Amino acid sequence: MEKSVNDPELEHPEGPSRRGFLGLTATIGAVIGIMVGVPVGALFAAPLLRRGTGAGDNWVPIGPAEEFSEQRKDVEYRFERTDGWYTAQQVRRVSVAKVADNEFAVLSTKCSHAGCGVTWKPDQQVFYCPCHGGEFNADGTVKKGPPDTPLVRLEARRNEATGQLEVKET
Amino acid sequence: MLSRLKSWLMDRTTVGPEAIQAMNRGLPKGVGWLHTLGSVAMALIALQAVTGIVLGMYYSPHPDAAYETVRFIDRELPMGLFVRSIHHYGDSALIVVVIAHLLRTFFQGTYKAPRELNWILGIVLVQVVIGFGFTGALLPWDQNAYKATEVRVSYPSQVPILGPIIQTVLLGGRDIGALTLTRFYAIHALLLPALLLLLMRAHTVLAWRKGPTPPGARVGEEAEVPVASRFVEHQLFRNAVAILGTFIVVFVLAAVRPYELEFKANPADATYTPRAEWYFLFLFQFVKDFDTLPVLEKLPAWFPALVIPGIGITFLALAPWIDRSPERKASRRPVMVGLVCLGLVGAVALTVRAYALLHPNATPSHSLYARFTDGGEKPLPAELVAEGKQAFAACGGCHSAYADFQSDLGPDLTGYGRKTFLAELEGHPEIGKLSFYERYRGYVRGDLRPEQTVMPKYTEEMLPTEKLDAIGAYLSQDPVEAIVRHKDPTSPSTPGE
Repeated sequence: MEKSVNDPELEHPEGPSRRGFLGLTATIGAVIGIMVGVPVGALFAAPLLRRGTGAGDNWVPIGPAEEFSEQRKDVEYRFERTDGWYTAQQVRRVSVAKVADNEFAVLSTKCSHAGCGVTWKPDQQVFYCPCHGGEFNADGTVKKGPPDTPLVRLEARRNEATGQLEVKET
Repeated sequence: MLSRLKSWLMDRTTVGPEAIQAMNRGLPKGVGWLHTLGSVAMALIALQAVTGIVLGMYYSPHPDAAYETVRFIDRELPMGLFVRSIHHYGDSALIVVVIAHLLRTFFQGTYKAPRELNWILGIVLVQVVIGFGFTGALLPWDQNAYKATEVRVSYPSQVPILGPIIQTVLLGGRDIGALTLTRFYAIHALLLPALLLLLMRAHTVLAWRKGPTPPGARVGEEAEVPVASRFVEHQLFRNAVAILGTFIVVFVLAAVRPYELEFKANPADATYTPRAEWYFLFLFQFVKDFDTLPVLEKLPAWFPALVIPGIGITFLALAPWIDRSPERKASRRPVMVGLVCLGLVGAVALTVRAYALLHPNATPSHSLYARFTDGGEKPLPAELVAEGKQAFAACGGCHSAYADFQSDLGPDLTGYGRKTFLAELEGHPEIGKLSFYERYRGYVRGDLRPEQTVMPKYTEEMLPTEKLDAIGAYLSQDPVEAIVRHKDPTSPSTPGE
């Protein structure tokens, strides 16, 4: 097997031997790449699977349903949100009004334009956003200013067992 | 299209057939499989880098979070435990490969002129690799991580005058805590990688410039050895095969024996015996045995733990100047080769001895405690513990337990469920395969007693399985915490967490 300096195969690196070895080497390299790439890639892309993020429907009680009337009212509520290995309490503020028997309009108080907090002005019947002067109607639709989309309306239900009004956090 | 792209790339990168041809240097006769070790080490370092990076995306070096994040990686993330196990075994493999690489260069005498500098760089690189293992071992923040680091740090901290300074700088404080964890993480993931890249670059550039040493050639006679193979054609292929083989070993180990977490670090648990990493075992045994030698035992523990290894490393680093003969053949350098062989045989023998003496009690994941706490993550079920305390009254006539029962007739069973006890059963291989719970049940029931004892055989009628389990839970309480609780009944009963 031993080769001297004058071995023709060594003198002609483009010979079949070199091509064969290079092809084999590249193949092994590809195998190693896949071997390492699959587990490492899976762990890297794990958030795409949303596993362990606590995502999913979560009904959060925000107060006894009878406490809400046709008069809009701001409510702050807390709920736990799991973010990977970390579970933290979140605070949200929503505006609640009863629109019919057992039907409630729960609007997010986050402006759809730049995310500032909107305040309900009962005398003008508008939500006013102090950041850029955006205004929303009582049903959440845009009245004037920079926002393009209405305030987010959260799904709400009255829990028959507890009498609590609950909103759906996703 | 493809050829245009090819020429565009070649134009910009100046990498083309000529560059490959330039790389395809001739290699002297005798260069072969043993010369793949450096490349395998580099590939393993790359493997450690990519697995470490993705693990770092989920890890948090905070004492309240570190363990939880690692558990999240293991339990919730796809292939999380597998990748973490690869990272663990990758470190072991890297140690094996760099030591093998060092031994290969030593036995072939390649540390001699003109490669003395690269030899020293290699010795420093080995220290860097060990530094990775040292700092990385603490990061999971489980009981073994904590306790093993405590033992390792204890040696330098015993050095007179300098000890407290070394300890404070190393740990970021007097004890292992929040500052230690961030410090070790920064060293493991920022400092050492930077250092490793720089040193490795220098090491490989020098190795490439000087080329491999023709095995057996005397200093100054290297040019006389004929070329027998070429780098791209032959050696690159050997490298690829060796890397693939090593990776397969690491991946199979990671799949077959995943590196599971133990309980969360609990500094107060004095019953815990940490295990040394296998590559530290020889040193651990050496320190232990040193203490039994006549006269030498008077020396403090940091002497065998630090000074003697330090002398060994210095000796290796100075090898090119200690051994100045032009000979490279191992048979012509009997003193040098003999000394290193002696050290090597000693290390292997000490490792074997350490394994033989290794106490199986140091494996709490097999303990009763794990059974009642879902691997040490849930607190012990309090009602079961209370029930067990009541049921233990039947045993309390002979056995002591915690501060609740006092008797000298049988062994004290305080904290018994937290150890892999029944050491007397270790000589019985068929029993060794059983779970700790099976041993415990078998012993109490009487079907599993290698030696005669006066203890009655408790049948199902005398002691129903529910009571047996409750007693197991009772005896799994942390002795330290149970005593604290005994003094202060208001403190919460959450052993282990």
